[in-house]
Amino acid sequence: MDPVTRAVLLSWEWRVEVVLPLALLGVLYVLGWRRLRRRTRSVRAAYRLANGWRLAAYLGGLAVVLLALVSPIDVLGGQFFFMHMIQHLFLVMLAPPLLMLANPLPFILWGLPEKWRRTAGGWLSTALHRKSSFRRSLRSVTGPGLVWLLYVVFLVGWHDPNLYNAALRSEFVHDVEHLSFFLPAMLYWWHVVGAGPRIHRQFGRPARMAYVIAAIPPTMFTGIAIAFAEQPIYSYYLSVPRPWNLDVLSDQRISGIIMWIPGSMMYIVAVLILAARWLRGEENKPPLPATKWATDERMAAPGLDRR
Amino acid sequence: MSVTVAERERAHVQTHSPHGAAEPSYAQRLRNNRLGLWLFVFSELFLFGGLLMSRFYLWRDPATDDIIRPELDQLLGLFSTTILLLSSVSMALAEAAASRGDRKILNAGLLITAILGIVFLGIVVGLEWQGEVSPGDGAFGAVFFGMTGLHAIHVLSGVILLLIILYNSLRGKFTTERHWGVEATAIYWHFVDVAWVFFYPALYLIGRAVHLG
Amino acid sequence: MEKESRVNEQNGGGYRQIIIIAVLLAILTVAEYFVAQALPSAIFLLLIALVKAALIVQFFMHVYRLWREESH
Repeated sequence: MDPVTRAVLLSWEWRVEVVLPLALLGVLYVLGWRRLRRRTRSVRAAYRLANGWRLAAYLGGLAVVLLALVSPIDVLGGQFFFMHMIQHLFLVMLAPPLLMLANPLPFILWGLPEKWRRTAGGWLSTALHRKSSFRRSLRSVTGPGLVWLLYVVFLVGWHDPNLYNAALRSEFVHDVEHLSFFLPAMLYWWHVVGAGPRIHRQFGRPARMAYVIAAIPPTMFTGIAIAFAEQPIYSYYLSVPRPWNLDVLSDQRISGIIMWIPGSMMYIVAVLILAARWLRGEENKPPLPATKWATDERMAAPGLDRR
Repeated sequence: MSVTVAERERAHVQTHSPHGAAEPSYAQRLRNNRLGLWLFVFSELFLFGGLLMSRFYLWRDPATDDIIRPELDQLLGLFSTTILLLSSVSMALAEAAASRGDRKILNAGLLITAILGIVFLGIVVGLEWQGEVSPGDGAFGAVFFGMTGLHAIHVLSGVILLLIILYNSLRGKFTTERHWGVEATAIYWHFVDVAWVFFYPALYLIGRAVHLG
Repeated sequence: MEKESRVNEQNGGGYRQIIIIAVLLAILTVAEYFVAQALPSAIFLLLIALVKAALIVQFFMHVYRLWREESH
């Protein structure tokens, strides 16, 4: 194997402050999952919270975060723009949906030892009680519209040349950047998936799909702007050694395309899944009796009646 | 003992047509109108958005591909933006007054909004359009007059709408429960303001200023 | 009862909320002007514009009325 490639594949940076929390969350989740599974042994598989795919989703999500922050992707992100882009996509579009689909709250709670679980549960009940003011303020601060705004502002804002270069130069700024991507993305998918704690009114089906689609334009436009730029945008990449003979402009074009196409793909996939579920739900409904749809009005102008 | 049309309407909220389908209530019609207007606003988003995109595509330095803009009077731009934002504030106050039954504030708000809109038009048409850039000036002229012209037409139609609604309000047409005309005008006017919120930095602030001619 | 008091509170603070948003818009516009003079960052200017637009769409255009069950 080419020595450069081998060196690259072996350059993992096992940051303790990343690995430890992820490991802890993983352990808590697995413990909670096992406990819940034991307790709900008699429940039918389809209705069970502690099922196989949730466990896989959570562990998968944690693995994606690990890959993004600790693997060569992170190291190479300092030399290649497209690697950095892949890292961001992992943190914003791959890990959050996986983690939220797994509905971590009940599992993490159940992973705690019994006394801590009772205290935590009690605190959550008081804080998120229907009438508590904390719930009200949390609800207004994490509304879908505001979450979308935060998501766009941080995702697009960090692509300003000065800020991006600063994040590349300083590890601390880079971590702040990642957190400011990751948290709004988690909130975003929290709304889409409806994971616990459920303090917002549930999204209707078309609204949910519109919300997912609304995440596409910011990444798409930023990606297009980067892909079609004719000059290097981020001066930092001009100053680092570049293995594999990939020049800065080609690197930038690839990154723009990555942000544009795979960046939108995740949301399109989500919309398709939501649409499929909606259609399946429609299929499962019993047919309307003829008295409802065979009226004179509806037969004369189908589809134009007012509901 | 006479019963007014309004009272009769309120008493029979749902009437039945001969075919057995229920006549929609005012609330239902209001929601439909609202959705329809927002769908229209959404379609206008593509119209304005397309022009905005073309500005960023066409106004480029041919040598360095930097984003450039024509030299425009900064203070005039800031002033016209402020006028339009203030007109949105007066419109919002007018709409709030309509739902509270504050007739005086409603009428004053509508009038002030219309006046501010006319002032804005005066600044754009009377001052900004008399500058160096002319509509035939290639990409610069086309985009500048396209953007400001499309926006100005919307401001003009908004002002006409405001005056019509003001006239209706003076005739006592609106109640605290039924003032769709005011709400619709407000949504339209605020949309026109939102378009300018994006057009102002695009025209006056973003990119290197380039002297034409 | 709860909804009525919320509506009344909205109406009483209705004018006040509009003035607060107006002040925020003014601050953002001034910030926009100075950001444009100080550092020529298209992204920041467009993001400030986005926040201004979001304020107008939420608090002046009441976009949330589309999905709430209000009758007026």
